[in-house]
Amino acid sequence: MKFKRRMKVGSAIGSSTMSDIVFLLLVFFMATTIFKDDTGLRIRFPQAHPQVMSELGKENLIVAVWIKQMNPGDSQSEVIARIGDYDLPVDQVAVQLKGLADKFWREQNKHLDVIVLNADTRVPMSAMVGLFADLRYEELYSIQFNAQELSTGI
Amino acid sequence: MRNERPRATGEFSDSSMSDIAFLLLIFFLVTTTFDVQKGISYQLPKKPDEQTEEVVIDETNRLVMTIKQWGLGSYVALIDQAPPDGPLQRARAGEDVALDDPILQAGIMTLASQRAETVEATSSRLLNNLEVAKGVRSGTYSNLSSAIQAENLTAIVRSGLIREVMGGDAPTVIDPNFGEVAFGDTLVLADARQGDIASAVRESELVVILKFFPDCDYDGMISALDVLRRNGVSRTGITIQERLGGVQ
Repeated sequence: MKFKRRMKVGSAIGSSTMSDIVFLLLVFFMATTIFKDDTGLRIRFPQAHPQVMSELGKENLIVAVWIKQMNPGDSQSEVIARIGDYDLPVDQVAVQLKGLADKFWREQNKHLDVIVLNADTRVPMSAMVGLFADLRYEELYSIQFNAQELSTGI
Repeated sequence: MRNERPRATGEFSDSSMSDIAFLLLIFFLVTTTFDVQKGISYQLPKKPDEQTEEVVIDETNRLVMTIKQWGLGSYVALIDQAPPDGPLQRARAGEDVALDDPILQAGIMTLASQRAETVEATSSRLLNNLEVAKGVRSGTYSNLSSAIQAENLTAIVRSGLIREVMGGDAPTVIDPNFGEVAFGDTLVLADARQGDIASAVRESELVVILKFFPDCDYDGMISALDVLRRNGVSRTGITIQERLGGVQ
């Protein structure tokens, strides 16, 4: 008597649908991706000598503030700031940062270490000194003026 | 007898897919760089209130400069007050000079180096930084030597920009923990396991007050701070020069 042969079970995982999945994902991301419009943040950085600049540690909790004029170069033009995705007048920056610092402390038990100021080179000093005074009033003392490295030597 | 033709299958080979994926992964792992925030760190003075002591800067340690914009990207400094008998006193007072003027910069560096703080003052700051880094309360260590022994630390001196510029003219002091320390050097305490733990720069006691014209741009402030830091001045004040006549 002859026994029936058992059916062999293949050990390979079918990968023929892989290309379908990859193309599906590719088409999905191509169709849905939008690029953030950063035109409002386009600023000209000041330059400084590399050896006077310091780097922030990865463990520092920082908030970046972008500052520019509506019409760069026009001394009468309004100075605006951006924190995250929100645009606001520069005189409200310190209050908003204080709110953020309190929130970090309340929710994560962390201190806001450094405020990074990414300001356009053409912003008048009257606005910047006003901002420094506001930051002091809100007891936010540690700041960093972001700059690009000067390519020339001393 | 029937001859069977080889059948064309509908699949394409994907055995090299993982090779391609790993190749791309390694390529991006190797070539990706993260944008690092670099800039000039600045500590604003404490808010004035009843608890804050008013700091009076001695005339011998005070240099007051007014910064004016002189065209695009060009700035001039007017020295309002300079320490008596210093290099900027007679030659430059009351006269506009370009911010990148070598005589002005050399004068600032000389003033700063003449007022280099003692190594004890730097060591005291270093001890505070160490206590913060270790997360212990202030006053845990009686002095820096005992802290170095207790924590098994190595004392290192890193030469600064001032020593590079001034060479042998940079004022140096011999310290029992660190050896020869020049003005502008950084004192570092390192550990065999964690590397650098705390550091402090031997600063100058010279305080430079920068008074900006209100319409001077922000680039002027960065240029002025850059000049001061390069010449050994880390203690600065920033304010606005009020226009005469009241109306801006």
